[in-house]
Amino acid sequence: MFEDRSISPDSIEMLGVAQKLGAELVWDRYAAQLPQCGFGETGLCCRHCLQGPCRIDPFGNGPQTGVCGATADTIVARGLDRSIAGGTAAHSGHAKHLAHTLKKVAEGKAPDYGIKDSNKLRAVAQRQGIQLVGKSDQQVAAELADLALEEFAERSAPVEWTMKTLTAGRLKKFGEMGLLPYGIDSAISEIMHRTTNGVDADPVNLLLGGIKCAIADYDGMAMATDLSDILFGVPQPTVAAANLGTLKKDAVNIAVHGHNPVLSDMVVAFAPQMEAEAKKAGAKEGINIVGICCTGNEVLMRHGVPMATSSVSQELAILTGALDAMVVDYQCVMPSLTKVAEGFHTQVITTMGIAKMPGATHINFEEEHAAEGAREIIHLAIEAFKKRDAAKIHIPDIRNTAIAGVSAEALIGILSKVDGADPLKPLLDNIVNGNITGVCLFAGCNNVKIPQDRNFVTMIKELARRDVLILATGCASGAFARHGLMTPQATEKYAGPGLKAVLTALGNAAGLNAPLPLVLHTGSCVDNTRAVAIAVAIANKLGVDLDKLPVVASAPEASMEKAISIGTWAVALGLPTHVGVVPPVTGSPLVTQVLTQTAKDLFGGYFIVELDPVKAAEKLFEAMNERRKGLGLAEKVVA
Amino acid sequence: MRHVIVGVSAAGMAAAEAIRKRDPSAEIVMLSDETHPPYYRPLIPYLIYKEKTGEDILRQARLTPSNLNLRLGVRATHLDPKNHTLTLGHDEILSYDRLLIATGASPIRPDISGLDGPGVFLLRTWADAEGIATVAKGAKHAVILGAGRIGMKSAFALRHLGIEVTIVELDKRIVPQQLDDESAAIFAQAVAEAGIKTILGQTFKAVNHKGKKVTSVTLDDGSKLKADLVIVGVGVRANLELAVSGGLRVHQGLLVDEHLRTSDAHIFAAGDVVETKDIVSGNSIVSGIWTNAAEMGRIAGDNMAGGNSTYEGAFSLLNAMELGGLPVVSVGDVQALPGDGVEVFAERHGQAYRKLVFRGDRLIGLILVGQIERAGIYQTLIREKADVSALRRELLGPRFHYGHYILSKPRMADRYVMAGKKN
Amino acid sequence: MKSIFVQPDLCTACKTCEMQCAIEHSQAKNIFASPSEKPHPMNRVYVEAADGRKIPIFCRHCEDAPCVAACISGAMFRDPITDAVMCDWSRCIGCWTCVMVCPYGVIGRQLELGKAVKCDLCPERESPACVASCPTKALVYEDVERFSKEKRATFAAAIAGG
Repeated sequence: MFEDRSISPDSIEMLGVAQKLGAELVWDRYAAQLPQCGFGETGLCCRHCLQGPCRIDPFGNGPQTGVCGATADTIVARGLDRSIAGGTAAHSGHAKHLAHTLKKVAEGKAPDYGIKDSNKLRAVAQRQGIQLVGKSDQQVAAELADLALEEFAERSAPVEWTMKTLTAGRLKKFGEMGLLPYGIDSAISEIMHRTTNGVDADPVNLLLGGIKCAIADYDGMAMATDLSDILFGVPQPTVAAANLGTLKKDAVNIAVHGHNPVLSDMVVAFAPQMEAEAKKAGAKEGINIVGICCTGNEVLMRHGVPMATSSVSQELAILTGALDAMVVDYQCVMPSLTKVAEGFHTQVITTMGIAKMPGATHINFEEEHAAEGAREIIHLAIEAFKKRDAAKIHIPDIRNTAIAGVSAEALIGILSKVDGADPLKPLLDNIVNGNITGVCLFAGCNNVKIPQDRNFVTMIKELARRDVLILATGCASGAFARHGLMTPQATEKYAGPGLKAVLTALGNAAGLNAPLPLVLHTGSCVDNTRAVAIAVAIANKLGVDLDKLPVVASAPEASMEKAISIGTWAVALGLPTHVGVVPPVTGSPLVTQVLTQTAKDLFGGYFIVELDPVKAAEKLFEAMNERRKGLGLAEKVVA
Repeated sequence: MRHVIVGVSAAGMAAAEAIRKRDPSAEIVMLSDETHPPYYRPLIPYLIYKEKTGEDILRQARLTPSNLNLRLGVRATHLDPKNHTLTLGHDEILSYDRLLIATGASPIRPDISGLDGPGVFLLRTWADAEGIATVAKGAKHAVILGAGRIGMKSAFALRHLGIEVTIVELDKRIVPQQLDDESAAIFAQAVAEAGIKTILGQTFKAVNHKGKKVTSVTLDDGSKLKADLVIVGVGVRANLELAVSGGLRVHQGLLVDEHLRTSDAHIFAAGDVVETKDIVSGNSIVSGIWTNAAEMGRIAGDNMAGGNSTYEGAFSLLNAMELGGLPVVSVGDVQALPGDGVEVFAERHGQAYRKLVFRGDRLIGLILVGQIERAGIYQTLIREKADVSALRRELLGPRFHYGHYILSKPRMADRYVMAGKKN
Repeated sequence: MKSIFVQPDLCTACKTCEMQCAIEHSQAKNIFASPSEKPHPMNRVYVEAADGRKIPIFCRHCEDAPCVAACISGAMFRDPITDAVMCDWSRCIGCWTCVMVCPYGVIGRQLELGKAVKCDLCPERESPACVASCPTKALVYEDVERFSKEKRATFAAAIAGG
């Protein structure tokens, strides 16, 4: 039952509960939307001016241009660009928030935060060209924060994080093609400008403009990762748990949902102070914080907070009847949560001025008063706990171990246990000798159109048996965690012989007495840049550019605009990038061709759109072999 | 060719239309023993509380075949199949080439003391409804025997007049044939909210009078209910007198073959008078359903005019109605219990209820309360005895539609999805 | 008699037909005012999804229309001129027997008024609102004979062509 909705056992169990309750969830709303409009699906609908809305007939019988003369190619490209801008705005909004917080910390205005990792602060600052000598952490932080904030403005030079973290080859290429953005917000705003009526009508020019904005997306994300590490700590491998079974009947359960550790880290930090109050309210086990989506990843890898669920199944957490509060900041939060919560005692709490929901309780979270905010939120959760209806509690008894927090630093740390002088050498050697075919970074979301996790789980098994090293971020890691794939046991079970040998050696070197987990959890979605850092390090060591590496990316169940913007910069960085749903571009064969073929000539990277997960894995494997061949390495052959 | 049709309601008129379609110039004589022009019998409850006038319930010209020789207030009293004649009234002889007996059914008069007295009504004809309307004018308390369709319709009609209504039903739930326990519980609420009192598991022992007025009803258990108006709706019985007078084979109803021909080659039958087989179970039934009657009339008429249509059988249950603002559709075998190849799926959310009954690969029964959209597709699947194994999941969901049905029939789908693209 | 023919291969499920149908059966007859009318205007054509395909489902104005035969109040009838199967709201009592027998499931319920709602082939228009508004020409309003002839020609050409 429900196999068309999810393959995750805890989700499936809760779907049964939902059916009995007659609760309307994302899957029901999706069914009601069917059939979805073909103009939208093909990207052939334009609403950028009041002379529309226009649509192009994909069958050629109706109009072939909009009122202004825009063709299908123009309309599709403009639409895609706006999605990239949307994704970029989201990631950079997250980064911006961290930059503001760092500045407040430097100015002493946010006493509840601090510089958690002084080494990272100084390393990043130095890399970004800030002089360190004779400066306190406070001063360095202030300068770094200003540099970060300036990144969003109109400037006279390309954005700094990009310039300091990518390969020389990429920077040269982007520079020559005029694709280096000079400011993150500038790039976003430029997209809005060039895509409104009567500006850019050249589809290729539009797409290149989109790539420029996507590079700005990368820039903001790299910044966000750095600043999060500085403020909250560089993740190290942590053993934690996943699935809805991490909710506890005898605790006040608080889910942190959304993205920014600026909020979630504070809730985790101040929970211990509220344990007494929770116990007094009758919660024998005190406070239990769980994570949903990216912010769940942030506190998972830094604090071992369990990942209850993510993405498409977020509503199910409320249906357990045991969730006392769901605290959200921004992005990927379904407005339906308040409706789902109507039948329960759960407090849905919004915290950001730009992200409110009708029916939710709003507590304006301010960094200056973070402790107060966190305590108020937890207090509300404890009050809600008292209103629980025991008869409505149903927590699936499903829980998997999940090892998280393999930051670039952590990975280098593990590798240096094998070769202290040249930590990348063991990794490279094993790629060269074929023990590791290549690296696949899994990213992205779940999508209601695909049974939750089906593509992820299918693909990882197909790739792991072909000795592909797997990294994962965002809700991809949520998917793997739910199925116990972020464990050494999964390596034993699914890894091909070469991969198993490498992960075992590394695990032993790290003192685990077990192989490393099958999936190296790299973090939240902004932490896709950690994987880039590793790839850049490898590329630089090999003396080639990123587009020569047997490194690929996959968002097999993508749904958000953020996934589109990330996919675009992944392609621009030279990675074959798989998407498991069809993006709204097929209305323009030209745009489709540029994304899937021409991009390869221009950037080395290209989109692979493949709905079948087995075929997708094959295609990615072929792409990695093509790269191996290009490097003069033996192609991998697997039965 | 002279076609004579006895009965001018659903079956009779459908037959006349079918005959007219095949043979525009055939002579069609139609006989009704009521003096009112052809009217829609299911609408007579509206006459009780004057929501509709007589005019409103007449069959309009646009739904009446042309050139009918319509004779009202005429009763066919005797049938002579050998000579192909009918006796009308006392002595008029009418000959026919083809005869359709569509004499319908009459309400059952249970053997209860006092039932024949004043103020006690059956509800089958226009005249019955007008009689009830007259007594209702001064009535304060009405008691109805039978919580079936007639009882329910009458109850709600009387509530419109502000009369206190009590329904007495022998079965343990209201509308016992069309509803199951769960759906009856839903309607019980609606019925109570309408101010209708229901007494289950009881029947009348006696109807009591004082002079020319009915005063009360005594129930089985000895209790008494005040009543100045009594309506009895406990089922109907086929009007077989004419058929019997002609020596035609009868049982519970008039027996026919699959062409709706009686035991006489020139005589056909259709409607409530007919005993036919249940399309779901194959058992013999007499069906008192308008839709079945119209279908039978069409086929009988077609065959009278030289056609060779076959009647597949009737739904013993095929009912759509609204009670207290809540709609319900009941089709086929809704009472079957799970086991022995039968699977029952039932889901209730508040006042909405869906029940699907399957036997093996076939859908055999359906109750929908509240959301009755697209019930007709389900009914078609039951009627066609379609293999619905590929549709099981969609059928159970609230979004089943015709598209699912087409796609489950590959050849039909190919024809439907025609080669039309220009690209 | 003209019928509406549906070519599902050309359907993008934009639902313009549904929308224009509702607008045509409203007082204001325009997209801006009609949606807020009471009783709310209802579409009588439906675009559904099954198996990833987009399937428009329209009333066929059946020759032996089950709804006409089943109607217990004389509301359903066949218009002698257009041959369309119509529902006369002055007679409809909202018993929903038609809903129960329509094999295509294309009879809806107007809940505010308690009346059955179905396609009437837009008697006040040259061609029905759905046909006129379909952006991909998936809907065709044509004589049965003419339409079949065109289909045969297309099909034959396809076969002859290879």
